[in-house]
Amino acid sequence: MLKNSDRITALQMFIILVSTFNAIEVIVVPRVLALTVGQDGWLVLIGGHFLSAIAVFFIVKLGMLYPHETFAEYAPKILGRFLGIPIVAVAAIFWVLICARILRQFADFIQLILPQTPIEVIILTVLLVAGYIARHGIEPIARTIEILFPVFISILGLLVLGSLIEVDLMRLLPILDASPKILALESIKTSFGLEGQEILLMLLPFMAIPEKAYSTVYGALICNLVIRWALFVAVIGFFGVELTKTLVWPVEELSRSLTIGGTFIGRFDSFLISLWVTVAFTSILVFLFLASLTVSRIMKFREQSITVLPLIPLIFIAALLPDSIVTTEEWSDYLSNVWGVFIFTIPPLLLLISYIRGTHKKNSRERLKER
Amino acid sequence: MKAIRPFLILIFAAVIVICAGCSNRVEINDRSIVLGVAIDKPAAPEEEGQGKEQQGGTQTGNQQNQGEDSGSSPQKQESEEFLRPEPPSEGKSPRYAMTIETPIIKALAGGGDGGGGGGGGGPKKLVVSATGDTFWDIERSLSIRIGRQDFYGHLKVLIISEEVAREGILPVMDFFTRRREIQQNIKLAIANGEARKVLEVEPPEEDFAAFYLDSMLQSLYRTSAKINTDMLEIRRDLTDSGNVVLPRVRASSPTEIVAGGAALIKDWKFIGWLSEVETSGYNIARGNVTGGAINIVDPKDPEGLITVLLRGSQIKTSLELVDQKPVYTIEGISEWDIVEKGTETMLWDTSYLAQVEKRLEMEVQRRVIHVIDKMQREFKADVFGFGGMLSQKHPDYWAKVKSQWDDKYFPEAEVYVKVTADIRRTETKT
Repeated sequence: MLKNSDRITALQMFIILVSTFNAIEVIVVPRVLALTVGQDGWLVLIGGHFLSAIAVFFIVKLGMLYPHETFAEYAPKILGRFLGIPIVAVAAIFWVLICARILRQFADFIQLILPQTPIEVIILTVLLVAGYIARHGIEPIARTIEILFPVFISILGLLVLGSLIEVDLMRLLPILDASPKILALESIKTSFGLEGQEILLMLLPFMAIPEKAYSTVYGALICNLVIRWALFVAVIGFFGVELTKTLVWPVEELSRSLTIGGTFIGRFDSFLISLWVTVAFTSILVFLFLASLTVSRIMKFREQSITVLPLIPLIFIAALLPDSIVTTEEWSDYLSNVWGVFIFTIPPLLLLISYIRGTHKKNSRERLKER
Repeated sequence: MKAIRPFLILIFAAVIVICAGCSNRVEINDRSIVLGVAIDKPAAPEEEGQGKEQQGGTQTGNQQNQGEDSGSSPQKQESEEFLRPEPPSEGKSPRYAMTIETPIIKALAGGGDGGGGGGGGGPKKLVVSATGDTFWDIERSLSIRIGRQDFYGHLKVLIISEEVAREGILPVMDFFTRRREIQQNIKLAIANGEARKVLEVEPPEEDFAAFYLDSMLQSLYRTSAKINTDMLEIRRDLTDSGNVVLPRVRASSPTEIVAGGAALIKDWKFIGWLSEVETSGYNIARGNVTGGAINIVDPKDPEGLITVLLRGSQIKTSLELVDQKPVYTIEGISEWDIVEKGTETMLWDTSYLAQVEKRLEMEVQRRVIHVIDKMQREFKADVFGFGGMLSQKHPDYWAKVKSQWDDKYFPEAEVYVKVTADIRRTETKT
């Protein structure tokens, strides 16, 4: 195996971000939006991504003050060890839970195709493979995702293009049917649901050129917005709002209903599922890595890899906690709401305190002295 | 340790190779591929035991009540400390009878090798029924009638009998839309009479009634007197408004299926039939028409008839709110060829053609107006997507009328129809 340099390029970062955003939501988001705001979902998507852009601004700003350190290292420096370490620990717990949640939703979906395979088997297989890669650090993860990503995007593109023939844009009318209050609320929820915006807290120092972080993350947000938009318009234009509300996985249903050129290409779902599985896998991978990295940095281990295996049983148990697919979705809503509040409040707060106390200046001086 | 290490790796690799595979797979020869499904009301219990072998080819399983061997005796009343579950309902007849049509693969493979001319083989298809209250229940109880696992991935048509549709198609649709292996481009039709009879038909041109019916329902360019929709479109219409127009089928003889006309579903329930001419009017109004012939009376000779064939058409519906009332305008252009003329009149004449066009326009508009009128007056069912259009363009108005749209506001809506017809060619004769 090639030696790990633990540096990723801006492009790799971009791809990691987009893949992580699209882990699970990509195939359910049209239903969630149809249920709450109907055909106005595309407005909510803009609003949600705009809010995320604000949150990400603070995250990157904070990270740039400490370009060689992760959240797990600078948070205790800013807040002091007694306040800082619990906050980092909370983040680590959330990353474990988010990983478990993605894993569970993923397994629920796979059970649709393999109804008789026990869910434990699906979860454990994915976890072990993810664990194997996560032990090798960020660079192999980035390379794994880099290989899978273009194929996934082209399949999504083909799906959207193929559905265009039957898409009736009239189904997106009337605009602004939902009340502004609901639209605002749903925008916040959408923004909270964009798991992946916070991975920069930990991954920024791994970027080869950290200065490119802004353009990378905004590019990723725009790319994600375009993907979600295209899928939302395709699904609503194809099925209509009322039918979309009844579909658990609207995008999968779209791929199944689609025939390109009469019956020339049918059963599109086989492509979509096989590729989507790999992309969903990548975000499990990223969150497993994040959790293990955070834990190892709190514990001041020199190697990140040793904390991967102890986390696997935890994630496995957490993934099995919800008893039904409906509970899973309910719990993951709570999870992303609480986590969203964390992500929207803690980084700006840290930034403020850092400026007041001047921690970052002291820190860079110390670093210079060390050299 | 070092010595046995290669062997360990070898064993490990071998285990992976041997144990890998799909744990849920069902071999193709353990499956029976369901091509068509028919839903009926179960027959009265007297029929039990009848119809073992019918009409040479078709094997039929008899319909029975489920739970026949549940040996619980209601008379026995002991002092019971715990609540005993009630015995399975035996007196009540089950809600549905589901019939599946499945090919007998063995017979097909044998016939194919014989070079087509054989014909000496046994039956090519199996038509089996089972009864129950829900469709999963019935599907599972089919396994006491057929030895293979039924597979719905290649399902082509679903036929619902009029009786069942009258009670509502919502429970029926759920099984065929929730189940992932069922494709959403299957055809759905309402049977005039018993639905099972349609699947039992042995068309001379085709081995299976389901395939035959499927191809029959697809060729809309030949006539506009039938409905061509698939499950997906039906679901769209049903979730939007609850109203939909479905094709009508019936078995006219043991070898023949007739698929003209349409069945009207309102609020998921069957409420009436549309004739073939009315179906044609409906198709024109929705802009579904891609072909079809119309007869009109020769303007110069009231005895003679002229047949014109549709070559292309474009229909557009527009909506305006006038004095807080929706006014719809269906506008269309169409191109036709004169393909038959049973009179001696000379048609190589523009003024004559103009007369024919005039009559043609009248005829087309009459058909459309008639079917809209029938929907407004008789059935009070909006199947034209007028409500959906209103909700898209005037959501505030729609919010007011939504609850009573079908019963009160749709019948009062004004609809104008304006279709122009142009005759382009006259084939090879003048």
